[in-house]
Amino acid sequence: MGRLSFCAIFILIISSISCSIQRSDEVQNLIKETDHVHDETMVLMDTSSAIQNKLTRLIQAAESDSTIGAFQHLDSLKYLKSELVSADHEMMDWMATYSRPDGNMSDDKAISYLKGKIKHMESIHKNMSAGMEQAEGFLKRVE
Amino acid sequence: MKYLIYFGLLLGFISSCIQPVEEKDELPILGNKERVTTDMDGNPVLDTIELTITDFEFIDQDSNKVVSGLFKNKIYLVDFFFTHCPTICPTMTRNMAGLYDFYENDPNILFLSHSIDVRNDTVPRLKEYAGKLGISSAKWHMVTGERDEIYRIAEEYMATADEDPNAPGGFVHSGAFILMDGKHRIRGYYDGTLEEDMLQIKADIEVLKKEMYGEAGD
Repeated sequence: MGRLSFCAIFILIISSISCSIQRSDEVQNLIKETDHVHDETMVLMDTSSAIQNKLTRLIQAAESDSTIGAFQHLDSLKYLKSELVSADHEMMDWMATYSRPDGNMSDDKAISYLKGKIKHMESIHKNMSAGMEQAEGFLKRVE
Repeated sequence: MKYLIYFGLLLGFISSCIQPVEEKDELPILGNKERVTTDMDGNPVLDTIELTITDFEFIDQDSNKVVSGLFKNKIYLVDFFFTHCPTICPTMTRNMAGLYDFYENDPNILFLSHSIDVRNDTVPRLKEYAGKLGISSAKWHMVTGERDEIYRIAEEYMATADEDPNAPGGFVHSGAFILMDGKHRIRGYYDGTLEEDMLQIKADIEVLKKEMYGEAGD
């Protein structure tokens, strides 16, 4: 009997460990995916910042230019820049609030948290790409 | 004897894995030189102006005004970071902190880290971050300022990066450390996430010290 209960406890421990490893694997994969989507958007930020600098220079030039043409461009330039700045802010806020799930967070909570973060990052990526595409199109027309 | 051979082989293997530090006699001055014609006693003279980083004004972790003049005749290392960066910044900060410790008592070496997240990295936040690192704002300025100004100056620092084969692209996610001389000229780019680049920085700083202060640079 003693040997039987020992075996039962042993099997229980092993099965619970293997279950927790399985859940941890999912969390680990989601952490990797979160890092990946984050890195992809960070790369976009380099190009976005270069476009923002270009827009800033054009805004400054338009503000010191009294011609009607410059004035007409000013609103568009400001709008395009604000779209990129807003995507940057969203990205920075995402990072400021992101923390990798530690041992205190249950796997279920970690999975839900990471999935939410990935979804949010994908939306930031989309907004940033759209803003950049719009700005680049405009710059091609006016330059 | 057998152990001695094994030890020799092991030593050879280890040394082959370590990237050697490139010894340099002088450091390049990076940046396109601008040719200008000046007037000298009524005669036009062709002159060359080296690229320098333009004047700036930021605020550091102790609310001190940080202007370019502070770095005149100093050797300084520049980078761009933000305190809550989840990927490369912790490694960069650890490496920069290692250099800070190494040069802590050298008054000729300064550090300048710009936060690119001016909304979240407020002065109190930078102070807290600097406090955790145990650094002094007299030597390592962690600065914030107008967003456009930070982005503009970053573009200046990175504009010549393609002249250096070791320089990474972009400033936001590159993790670049930039070595500057006392005339605000760019003298080198390094990967702030690589341990071996920290050794190269130390070697290059020695070259720069000799150039700027002579043999008795220390």
